[in-house]
Amino acid sequence: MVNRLLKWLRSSELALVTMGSLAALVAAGSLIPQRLRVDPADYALWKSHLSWLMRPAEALGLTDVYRSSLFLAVVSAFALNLGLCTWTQVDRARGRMAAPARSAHERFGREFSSESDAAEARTDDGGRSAFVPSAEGHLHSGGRVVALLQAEGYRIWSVGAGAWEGRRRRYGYVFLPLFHVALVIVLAGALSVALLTFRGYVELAEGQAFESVPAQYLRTSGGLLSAKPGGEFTMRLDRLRVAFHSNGQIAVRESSVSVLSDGSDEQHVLASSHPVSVAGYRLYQNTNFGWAPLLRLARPNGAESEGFANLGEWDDTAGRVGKRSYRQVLTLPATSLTAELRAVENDPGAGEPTSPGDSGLIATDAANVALSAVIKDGSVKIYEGDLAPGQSVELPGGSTLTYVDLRRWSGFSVARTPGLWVVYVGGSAALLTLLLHFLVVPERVRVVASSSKDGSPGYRLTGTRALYAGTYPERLTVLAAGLTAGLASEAEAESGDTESEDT
Amino acid sequence: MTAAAEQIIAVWISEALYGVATVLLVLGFAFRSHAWIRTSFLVALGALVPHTAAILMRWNETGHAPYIQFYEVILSDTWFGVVIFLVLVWRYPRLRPAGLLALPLTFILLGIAVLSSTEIRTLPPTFQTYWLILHILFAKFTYGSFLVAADLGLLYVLKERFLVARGFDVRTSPRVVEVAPEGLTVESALEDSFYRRLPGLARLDELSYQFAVAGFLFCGTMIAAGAVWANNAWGEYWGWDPVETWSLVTWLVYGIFLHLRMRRGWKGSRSAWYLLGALALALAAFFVMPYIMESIHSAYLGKGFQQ
Repeated sequence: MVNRLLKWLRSSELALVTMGSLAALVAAGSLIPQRLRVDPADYALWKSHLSWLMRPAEALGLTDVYRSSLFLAVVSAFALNLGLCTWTQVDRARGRMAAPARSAHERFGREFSSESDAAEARTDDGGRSAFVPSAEGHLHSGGRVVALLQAEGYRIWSVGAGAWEGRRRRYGYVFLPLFHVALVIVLAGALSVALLTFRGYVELAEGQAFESVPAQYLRTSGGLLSAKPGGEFTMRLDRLRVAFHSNGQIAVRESSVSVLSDGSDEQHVLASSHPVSVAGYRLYQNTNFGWAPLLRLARPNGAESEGFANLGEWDDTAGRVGKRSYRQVLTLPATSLTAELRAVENDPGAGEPTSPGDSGLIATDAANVALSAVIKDGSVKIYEGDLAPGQSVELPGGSTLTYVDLRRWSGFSVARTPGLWVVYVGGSAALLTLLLHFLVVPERVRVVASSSKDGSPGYRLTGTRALYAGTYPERLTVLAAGLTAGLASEAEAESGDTESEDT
Repeated sequence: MTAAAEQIIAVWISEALYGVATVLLVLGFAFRSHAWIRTSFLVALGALVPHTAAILMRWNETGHAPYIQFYEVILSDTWFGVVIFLVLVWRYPRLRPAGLLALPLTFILLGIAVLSSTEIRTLPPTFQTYWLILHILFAKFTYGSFLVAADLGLLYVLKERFLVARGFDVRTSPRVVEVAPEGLTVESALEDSFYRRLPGLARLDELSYQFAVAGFLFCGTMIAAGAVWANNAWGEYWGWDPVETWSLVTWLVYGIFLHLRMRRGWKGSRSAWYLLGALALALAAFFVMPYIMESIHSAYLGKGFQQ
């Protein structure tokens, strides 16, 4: 019972079922709106318009498919099947490799070499085929030839009319098990990445450093054992360089940053697709950037904190025709106050070009931005008026809010993926072993019952050259000589048996 | 005349020639004429000249390889498909009729591309990495290999139908063998028929399998290179992006094919039909999904733009 279960668990049938199910599930995950990936309002719209689809999809977990029990079950079954199948394959390959090499004497009844037997083996067609004569007086059945070839490691099958074909993988049988081992390594690496990864996101204005990095996708990939950078180092954005093509599209986006740890100050340049590694973390230049008013909050105890208001475009066109408006509501830290900042670009044409879809402030000069603020404590208005660079507002409790300046800001991703190298090693090994499996083609042989030019019976032996092109005639010669010797020795043995029986 | 106009004219010339090649090929099959098919091959070879010229002109105009607009993607993908097909025919001249899928598909895709926007997109900073070049290069090899595998599968199906109609027995285990009606050899049974000059079923079956294997390897390499690039760009090597997901689906579908072939002995027409179906899926994954779904890959088709 257990053996049958194990056999089924490592079967190719289960492999096919799990691969098919995996393909179907991930395809469904890309077609059905995923709850955590689409805008909540859009998701609600999908639910109301396509309730016939969304209701069963939700019941099956297909609206959060990559974290659903169904998906985990299929991946687990796939991994189990892969692991067991790999175990069997590796075991078999080890068995083959551990088998003691048999001497030519054991294989064919006597010693021989390609040199000494070359003359004996009758090769034709410029060495492309060889004739293996039947021993005198013994027209062997094909079974003898097949048995000898099988003893040489060939898998033989009949193709009818006194002909057989076969193939032997001299090294190839190693690569497929290794490919499956590599896939197991990829899955193990992917599991460790899923469990141990921390991925966070932070936005810094020029001159600012982070204190900690909040996890970017709290609901989906905070990491079960996540470790956030804190204490090990911090990073300050010194300068963000952005250059544009003549058509307004971005050509360069790179940040000069200082990594500060234990009193040391290392300079790095972060650019898109060119991250920097620091203390086990990788720092990435994000695509988000822009200009924003930098604010400083000074508390009565002397503590200061800085933040910038990432203004979003605001459809406030009344009285400001042709000018872009922005708004952002901030909660001032350690207070009960909120500040609603509003900005209007006096001359929208004077800013930087933006990429399509951007809606952030593009003005590069504080003089080009009319900033105003409404500060409230609950619903009580404390301040309403314009803000100029350097201007401060006294807040209740002795705090002061200062509009420092208009600053360039940039987003950065921070990631720690301890198991990623395992995925890379496994993936590389998988591709390499698969390549070798198909590149190192098997030796093929074809044996046809035939007769030589002088009419004596025997077998015509041919084979494919493939990778063995250079050594093919020698191999064919050795094999033909071996088969000839093997048939002869068996014939002698049979004669001996017959004589002794007669006696 | 501007360089852009010259480039579009070159594409239109190649489009017209691919159209002629397609018509000649279809007529060659309809009238069982190898002469027409040979002419079709020569016309396709001729079409490759303006096709290549258009790619080089576009490259020169944009300053980057043609891969970040629908127009550019199709221009280069179809080029790879045609080149892989022509290399195959150069190696095996008897496989000229195998363009039955490659040529019409090239004609249709190129037609759609030349009618789409030819606006120039500059290379965003995220795209400035060697991993992207590897990712894209292998994507194109993948498309070309899967296309030719299906092409050979289609030829197999057509030839097998013909042979069965002539009373042949087609065996697929342990390997594909066509057995002529009793008392006849394969040559005598086929006489001077159109299909006699095509390679044997075993050869077609084996070649289509080999191209599927190559495509599977290329697809795996494309996914791996894309994963490294994504990790360098965004800090995550796999994000279940729709196009990423559909590449995985394609890889799994061809992986299933390899299992069916190696473990379950799927050869012959079953293998050929599978490859035709798998190509439809690969085409959807490559060209339809990025267009209809929100994806970071949508940028390469010019829909939205991840800078």
